[in-house]
Amino acid sequence: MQSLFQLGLCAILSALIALILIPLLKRVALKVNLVDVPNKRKVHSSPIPLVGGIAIALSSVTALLLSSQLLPMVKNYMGLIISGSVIFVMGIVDDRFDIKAKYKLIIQLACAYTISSYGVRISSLYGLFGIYDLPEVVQYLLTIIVITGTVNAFNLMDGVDGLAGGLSLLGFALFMFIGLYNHNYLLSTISVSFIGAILVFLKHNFSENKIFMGDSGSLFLGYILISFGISTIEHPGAILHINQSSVLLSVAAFFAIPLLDSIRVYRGRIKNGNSPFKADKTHLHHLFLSIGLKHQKISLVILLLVSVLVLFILGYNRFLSLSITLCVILLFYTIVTRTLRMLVEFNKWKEKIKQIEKN
Amino acid sequence: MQKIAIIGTVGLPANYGGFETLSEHIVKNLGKEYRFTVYCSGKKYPAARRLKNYLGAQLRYLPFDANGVQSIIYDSLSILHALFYADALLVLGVAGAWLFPFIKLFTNKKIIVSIDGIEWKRDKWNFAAKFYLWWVEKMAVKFSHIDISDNESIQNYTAIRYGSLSRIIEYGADHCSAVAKTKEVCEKFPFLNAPYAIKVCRIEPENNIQMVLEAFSKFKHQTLVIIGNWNNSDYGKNLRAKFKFFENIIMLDAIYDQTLLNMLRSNASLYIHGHSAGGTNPSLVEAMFMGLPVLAYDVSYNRTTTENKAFYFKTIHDIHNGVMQLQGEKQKQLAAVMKEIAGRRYTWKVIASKYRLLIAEVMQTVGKKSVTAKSAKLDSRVLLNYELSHLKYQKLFYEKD
Repeated sequence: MQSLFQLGLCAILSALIALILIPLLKRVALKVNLVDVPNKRKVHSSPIPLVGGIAIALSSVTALLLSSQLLPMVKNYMGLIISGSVIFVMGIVDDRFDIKAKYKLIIQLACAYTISSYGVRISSLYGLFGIYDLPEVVQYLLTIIVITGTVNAFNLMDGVDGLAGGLSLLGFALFMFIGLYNHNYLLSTISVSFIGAILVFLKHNFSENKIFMGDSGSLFLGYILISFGISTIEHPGAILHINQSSVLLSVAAFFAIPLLDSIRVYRGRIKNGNSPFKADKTHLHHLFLSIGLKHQKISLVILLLVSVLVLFILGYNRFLSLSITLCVILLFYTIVTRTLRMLVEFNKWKEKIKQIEKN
Repeated sequence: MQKIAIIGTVGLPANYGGFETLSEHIVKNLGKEYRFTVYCSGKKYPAARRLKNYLGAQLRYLPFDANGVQSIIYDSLSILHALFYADALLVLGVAGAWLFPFIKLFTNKKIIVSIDGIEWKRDKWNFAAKFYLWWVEKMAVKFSHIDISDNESIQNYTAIRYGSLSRIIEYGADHCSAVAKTKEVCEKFPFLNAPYAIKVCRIEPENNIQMVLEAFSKFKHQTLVIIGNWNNSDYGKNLRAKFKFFENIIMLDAIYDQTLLNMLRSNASLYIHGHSAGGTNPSLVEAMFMGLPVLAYDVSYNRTTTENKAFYFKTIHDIHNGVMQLQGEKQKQLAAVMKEIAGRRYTWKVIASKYRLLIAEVMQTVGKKSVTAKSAKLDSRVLLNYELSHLKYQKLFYEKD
């Protein structure tokens, strides 16, 4: 239990640093114009400092530096540190100067390649479609696609207050438990320090003088989460009798909803003849907004959906094969979005019928 | 002889509403050409007095309510039962339409559906009911062979939303005729001895009863008679209590005696129609047939029913204007116009023959007719070749200039 005490300490430390850091960063951000300016499509109406990501990153890293885990961390997660820093810096620059999507994509691909070459790769499909181990080239390709897709999916999820923050919180909590389960205390420590910082961030996110986490936050956190995901699947750590498929499936279930959502949105945009990167309002949280839910509620609902899915998968993965479980995830997501879209359609037609009747 | 099942009505003999009167007249007029089976609600026809046959149609009873939430089971069971013997199903109301895709997929039975106004818009339903009705209406229109709207505005709506060309068949009104007043009734209802405006409807918010009551509460010298089921809901009871003390407003409970009802209606000097939903309302066409001038709520359905020739209101001010203008000669003129329209369009002979043609047509259809003409689906290069490209860009009937 000494380690639990250490974990708690790390979280508190990170939270304290964030508490001090955020107000400072807010003032600096307003001066250097590191803010999110509202436009017609966005949901807020005054410029908001984009310092959440910086605050979270700096707080958790500082807390980790001060912990006893510094050396093992550097040893095990070198690739992550390097590529993560690149993504982080790119995020900050994007927040301030708006980098073109093309360049962001290239940098993300490069970082994904970097971390793959450090060993964080999806090496096998564990029986999905009957495929097991993959050849190395495919490993690289698959990993790069998955990482880039998930990082972008996370970025797109940052659309209402508390969503990306809450989702990251859930993700790091998941990894904390997985770390404890696998006796991988390094993983747990890192997760916990992020949790502390994110909690403080969320408090500011929901308050009156809010801050956003910006691209620096969502890209960085998404990147870390997916890298953790892949590495926990690949290198479970000190194993006793863990059920590897539980880990795999719970991680998959966690990332499923953001990923499926971005795939659905890209597909929809392409179907309408637009570029998949053209901004519109068809994401999951936009659908909820169209029905009339408020930001906080939407984040809670989506988090609830993700948690329900993860818990359900954890509970039932003994009885279902991998392929069926993935089908269940897909089915769940489809039902949720179908119902939502019908509700949005319904509201739309209520308005339309009033028009028709006037004529 | 081919067998047709009529589904979704409360039952025969008709004693309830528009659909029931419709099925009675269909059965009466077409009973010699087709064998009809009508499904009735056991709840409204107590076992002791149930008929096995009526006007040549066989009656089947189900122990459910035909309206309200039980209508889903009522309609669904009727449809399932009818699938075993009927050649075509005439489904009045969309509650059971979730079965239609399966019927189309697995059987070769023909379906005619009548969607009875835009049900999901009605304020009387809660959210879950509205959502279900909205979804099931889509099933009904898309998977039936022919769908019937009772009004041009609803035809526009189904064309816009589903691309379906609904047939328009309204209701007949000639089962109601003007009845001269008798002394006994005049003694019972003294208002008959002077001019009065009349409104007959179900007491629901969408019928604008409150607006009409308020208008007449300020109009002390005009009498208003409203007949409806006041005690059926809190809304009705509250309204009755609120307007009880106005002497010129007379609120009567629902009258089911058809002769008495017709007498009260036909001797009125003005008919006020506040319905804002439901397409062509039977009460409106009946009033028109009985030769009453009409002051109707200004919504697309009412305008289409009265061919834009009646007087319309949107606010209390409009009601006052309408009543003031409709005096003396103007009243008689409007009454004549309404009677002419009704005599031409809203008789059961006309309506039943429309149904006759419809049933004959549905027996031969395979797919569903769409709003866009087939010529619009031809390959554009072929059309260009024949210099007929303009056929690709046809203006649809509901698109206004």
